[in-house]
Amino acid sequence: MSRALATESVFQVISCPTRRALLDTLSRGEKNVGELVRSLAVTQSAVSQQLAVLKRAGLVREHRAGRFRYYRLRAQPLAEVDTWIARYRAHVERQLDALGQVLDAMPDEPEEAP
Amino acid sequence: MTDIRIVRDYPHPPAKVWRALTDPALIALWAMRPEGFAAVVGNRSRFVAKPQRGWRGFVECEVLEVRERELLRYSWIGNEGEDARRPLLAELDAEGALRPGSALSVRFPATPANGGT
Repeated sequence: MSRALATESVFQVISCPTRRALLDTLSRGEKNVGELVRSLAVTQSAVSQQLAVLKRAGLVREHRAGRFRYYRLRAQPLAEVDTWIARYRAHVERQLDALGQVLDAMPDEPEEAP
Repeated sequence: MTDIRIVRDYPHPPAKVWRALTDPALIALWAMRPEGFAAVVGNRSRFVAKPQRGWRGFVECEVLEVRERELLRYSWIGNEGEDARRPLLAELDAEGALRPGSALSVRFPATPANGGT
């Protein structure tokens, strides 16, 4: 059950546009809060608040260097999302295969002729 | 969240693909068995299959948008508590297909139904 909860939280985390923008920006390299505020054009408090959520979800790692805290993307939890999408996609692909077979077996009706 | 989109070309006219997407007897041949389905906005139906561990064995469906031979959009609730605002979309496009055929494009949200906010 805890696994299901963990999965859910990753999906919840990435359902927020600001958090996705933060992850996108961090995917290009580590940044401090000031740099994130400038590149996203949102307030510092919004960035700090969303970074805290990302940290709790294990999607971002923080470290101190001098006066600044730097943030780095930790992408491993996103593998859950990939797994879910791959499974759902495979299911839809199988149904579309079956639909193709049904179509091949269906006679054309006169008004359906191309 | 972004949608996932899968596109298939079928060498059949859109009217025929539309029939396979909307005629309950034909739907049962490639998907699940529909109960009470009609391609009419507001129609509520169930798609029934064998229950499995972790799944109740039917999907509740509400038709949200219909454009004959072009577009079918419906909500798809596979388990209790899932969010009906996350519709599935099936779009048919005769223009984009290899002629004489149809391109069927299926879109679904890239998150599980109980995962969003």
